[in-house]
Amino acid sequence: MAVEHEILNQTDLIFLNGRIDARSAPGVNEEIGKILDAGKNKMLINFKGLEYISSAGLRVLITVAKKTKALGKDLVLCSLDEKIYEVFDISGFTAIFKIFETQEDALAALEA
Amino acid sequence: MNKTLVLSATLENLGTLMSHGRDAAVACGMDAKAIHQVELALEEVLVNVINYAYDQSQDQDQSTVLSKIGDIELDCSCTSNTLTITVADQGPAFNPLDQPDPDTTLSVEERTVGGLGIFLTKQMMDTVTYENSRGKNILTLVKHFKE
Repeated sequence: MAVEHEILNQTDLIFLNGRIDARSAPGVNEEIGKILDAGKNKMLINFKGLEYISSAGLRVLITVAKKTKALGKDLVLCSLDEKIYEVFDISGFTAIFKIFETQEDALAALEA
Repeated sequence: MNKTLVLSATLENLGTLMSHGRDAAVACGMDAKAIHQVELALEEVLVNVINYAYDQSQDQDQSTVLSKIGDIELDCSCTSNTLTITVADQGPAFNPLDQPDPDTTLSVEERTVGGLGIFLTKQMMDTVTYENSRGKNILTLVKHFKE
């Protein structure tokens, strides 16, 4: 399962797993879209289980960022490994997203 | 080592094509980070061909669509410290490197949703070159690495 979802208080916790490439990205987009539509005020996306992301996955994330911004929801990311972080950095996404090393830090930032 | 794989340019074949590239990077002795960079660079190029090189616009009927879809030729070769990947298609001449790079400094509201693919390829490889030769678009991706 590429997308797992849990709810913690007022936060949607999303866990991304495996590979988000051109084949899997449309499904991930649909899953996260549904969660956003039904969703809580805050969203945390945990990248711990993610091994690979390409521009198809980055498109999903920029779409999520635009939607949360438009809806006035808080969005934070956590647990990006070095390879994924490099892709984010090159793409300018480290300036767009609030990124934390651990889920604990990310949750603390949402509470602040 | 030099291996060529020829498959029709469909999303269903992306996994097989990606494995071919990944296997070459592994056989070359690249480290995990470099392999990831090669995979990403290759996917962006392959997806570009799958989405744009051949006319898929007219008909939703599978057999008719497939008949219009041409091939992707993927060739990987390795010397002591260089991996060279070429991706060729027989679509209309098109140089993806002509696209301007996206502005990665824009805010989330200003950013467009797409446009990162070939930019990432260029960032992940040492050189990326395009040529149109004998009716083919040929993109050559080169990455040097430490043994």
